[in-house]
Amino acid sequence: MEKIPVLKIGNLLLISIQTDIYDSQGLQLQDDIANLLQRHSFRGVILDISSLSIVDSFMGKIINNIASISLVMGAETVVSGMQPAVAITLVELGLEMPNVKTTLSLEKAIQFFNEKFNRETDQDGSSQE
Amino acid sequence: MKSATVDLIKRDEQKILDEWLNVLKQSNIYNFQISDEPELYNEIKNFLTELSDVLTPNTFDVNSPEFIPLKKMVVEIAQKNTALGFSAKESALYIFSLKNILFNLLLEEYENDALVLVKEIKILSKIIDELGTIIFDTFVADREEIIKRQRQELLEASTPIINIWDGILGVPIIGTIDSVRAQQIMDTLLNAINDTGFDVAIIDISGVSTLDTVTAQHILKTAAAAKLMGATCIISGISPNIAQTIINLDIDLGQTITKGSMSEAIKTALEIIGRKTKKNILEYGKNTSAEDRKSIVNLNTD
Repeated sequence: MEKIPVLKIGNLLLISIQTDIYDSQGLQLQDDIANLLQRHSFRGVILDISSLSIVDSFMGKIINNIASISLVMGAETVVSGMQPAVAITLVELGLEMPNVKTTLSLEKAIQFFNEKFNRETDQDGSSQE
Repeated sequence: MKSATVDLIKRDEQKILDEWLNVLKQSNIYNFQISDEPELYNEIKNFLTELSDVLTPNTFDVNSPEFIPLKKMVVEIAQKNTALGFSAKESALYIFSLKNILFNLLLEEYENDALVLVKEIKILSKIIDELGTIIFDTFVADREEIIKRQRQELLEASTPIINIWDGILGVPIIGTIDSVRAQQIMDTLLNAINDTGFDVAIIDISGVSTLDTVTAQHILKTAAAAKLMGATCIISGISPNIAQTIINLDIDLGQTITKGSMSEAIKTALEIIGRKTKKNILEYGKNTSAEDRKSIVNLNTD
């Protein structure tokens, strides 16, 4: 079974799911992310699912789990590029993921973290003065 | 039916036609013009010929195959009349006015034989009644067709997506929302968000007359789905009535932003967009060193 690649960009983790994945792959991904977050200090996790066309309740749960795990380990998760069909399915399933930040595209997710980090740096700077 | 009766109808065809034409002309159902007369005359002549052809001593059962051409003819007449704007009653009177004329004719012919007269009237009455009901059927079917088509057209035209601003979509909803329409609104809006990449969608429900739990559920589902995609949904146009309904029905709006008017919603939307566009796109990585950039590797392998 192929692993889903987890890419490191600065202090972000980027996971791009390119194909429809199996449950076992999802569980593996969850483990990988938890391990990586423990070993390095990442500030954010971006889960790009723009190529994911089918999602079931299990996959919805995995996404939710990844978000919760990262939050516990000090990183925020952003899910980007969810397709309309996927969004409808998740809403119909009642999985509205209130704790997960979502963006329209990967670009906007990166922008979000960028702004967040900048804001934090600004605040740090002002507090030092 | 006695062949004498059929012969009678054939013999007195001219007389019947004249009388029938007269009745039709006089009844105010026709906004009658002289130029229409030959056309109308031909129409009823064809009808009467067909009727007398079908009526033989053996066939007076309206459900027999021999009657099919006659029925078709009646359907055509009914359709033509509906197109001319006749009411159902007016269309039906077209056929029923023939009944009276034929009965008078029979009355004269069988003056001395009451039994035969009753029998013949019974048969003829049955046939004409049957033809009359066909007219009603055709009329109703035509109307149904129109209603169905209009409903479809309404559904197609019901969800316009407006580009209010660069980054803001607007969806005015007018009328009532059932599950089919709600599904359509959801599909259209989410696809529009996906296509444009706009951050904010304003759903305006000032045109929704009544809001029940099902309708509210549909709108909130759409907002939730839009949020999952990363867009923000603002529901605007909440009238005092609807606000009270929401409270009375105990509908949970969750995190959805609601505004009283479209202008308020646009204001909020502009604030959201302003916040998002303050920083420019893809600044990330500008300050990172070359070594950091190289570190984009598959960490699973370590």
